[in-house]
Amino acid sequence: MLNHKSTKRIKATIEYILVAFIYTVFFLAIINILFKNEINSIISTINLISINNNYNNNEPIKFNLESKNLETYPSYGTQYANLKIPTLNIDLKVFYGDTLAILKEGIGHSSGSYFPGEGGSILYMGHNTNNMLKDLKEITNDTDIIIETSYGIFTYKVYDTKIINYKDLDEVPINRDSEILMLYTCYQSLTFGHTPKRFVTYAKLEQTIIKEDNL
Amino acid sequence: MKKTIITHFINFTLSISIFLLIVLSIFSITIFNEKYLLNYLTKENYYEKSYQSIVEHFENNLIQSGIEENIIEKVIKKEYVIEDINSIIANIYTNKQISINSINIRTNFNNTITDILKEHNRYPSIEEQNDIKVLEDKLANIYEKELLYSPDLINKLYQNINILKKLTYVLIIIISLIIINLLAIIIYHLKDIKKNIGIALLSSGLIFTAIKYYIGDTFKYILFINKNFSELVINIITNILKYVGIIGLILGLLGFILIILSIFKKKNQN
Repeated sequence: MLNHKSTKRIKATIEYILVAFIYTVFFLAIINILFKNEINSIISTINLISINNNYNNNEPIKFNLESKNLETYPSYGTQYANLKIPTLNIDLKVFYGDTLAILKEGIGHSSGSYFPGEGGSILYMGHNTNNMLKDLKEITNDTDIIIETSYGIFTYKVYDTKIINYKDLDEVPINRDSEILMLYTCYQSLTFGHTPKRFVTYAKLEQTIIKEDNL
Repeated sequence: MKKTIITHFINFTLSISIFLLIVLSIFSITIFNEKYLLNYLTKENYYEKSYQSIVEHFENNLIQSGIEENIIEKVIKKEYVIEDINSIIANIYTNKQISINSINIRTNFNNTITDILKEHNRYPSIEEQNDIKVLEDKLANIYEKELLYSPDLINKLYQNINILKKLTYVLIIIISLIIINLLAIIIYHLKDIKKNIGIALLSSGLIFTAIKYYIGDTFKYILFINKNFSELVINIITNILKYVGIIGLILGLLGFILIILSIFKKKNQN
């Protein structure tokens, strides 16, 4: 008798909970039907204004030698390389991204450009201050620029330098025609105030050494 | 059969009404409430973060200009930022006139540059005077843009928030009346008051929980206007969802308890 009572109680409880659950599903289904377009529009907008978080945080960067692409990319804002110009005594950290916070710490890799080894143009930016790229304007043709990453060491040879206007975006093209490293910094022409000029160094890839454990 | 359908209809309507009433109440005490937002800005250190962000932008421009970065503290004060953000909030909620301290930024910058030039005995060339003016404009624009972003957006926010605020108050009253009527029907005409109200509460609780999990972390990586503002929006939504989760749990538990009580009382009576 007691068991039968308990069973009836449990059955009744489950029945009432199920009814509540059915109400919930029914309500959510109505909302989905009535406001499907609006909901999709909101989701699209959120995706549009969200940062792409596909970059992994913990795995080492791996380079695919066949396709000449990175299989995993560094997280935005993290250091992934070092830039060295031995003749100018320059040895700076390279970060992925070019925010103000990054440029205080080292060289910023413009997020629209390619990575070393990918066969495309790479755009690095830095301040023209004492501990950054102040001496870059002394660079000459045939100078070596070395980029040391966790997946390989890339040596570029300077072939040209230019003083451009900050609006001349055509002078820093991003494409996959060939692997060109562009170092971009402000050009202070000894005036006081806003400077519209930029100093750009162009260097072509000379040598690639891919680290074995990253292949 | 007919009575069963009517009972289900009443319970379902009660469940949705409770859900809507609570959602509207949450909005009216959070997003539509100026004091809530001002408290949240203080709690999230938004004023300090905005000030630091502007200082960083100023530094970035001054680094390249040949001017010492330490002039920043003479050009911009944290009080300007606090005053201006509060002015913008007041405009959004009450359409009070916005006043931005960019004129003070310009005045301070000009005074500082004049002092520096005098100190170094420098007489700027025409090109230099122009470069200084361009830098002054840049700093003022950076300040305005970091805080105000867009006057049109602020105006749109004011219009939308006020319409929604009024609509919310009206709907709260209407839905409260609906709930009172439904409860009256349940109490006077239906048996199993506890069961019916319990099912309605449990269903509301499940809806809140389902919404909380559906929204989840979809908004956690938004970047809109600037990083500080985006973080503020993310934190406000996270806070509201936290309330939603708690309310869902409480309603669900209450509903479950009422259901259990109705079953035990019914069986005891039997």
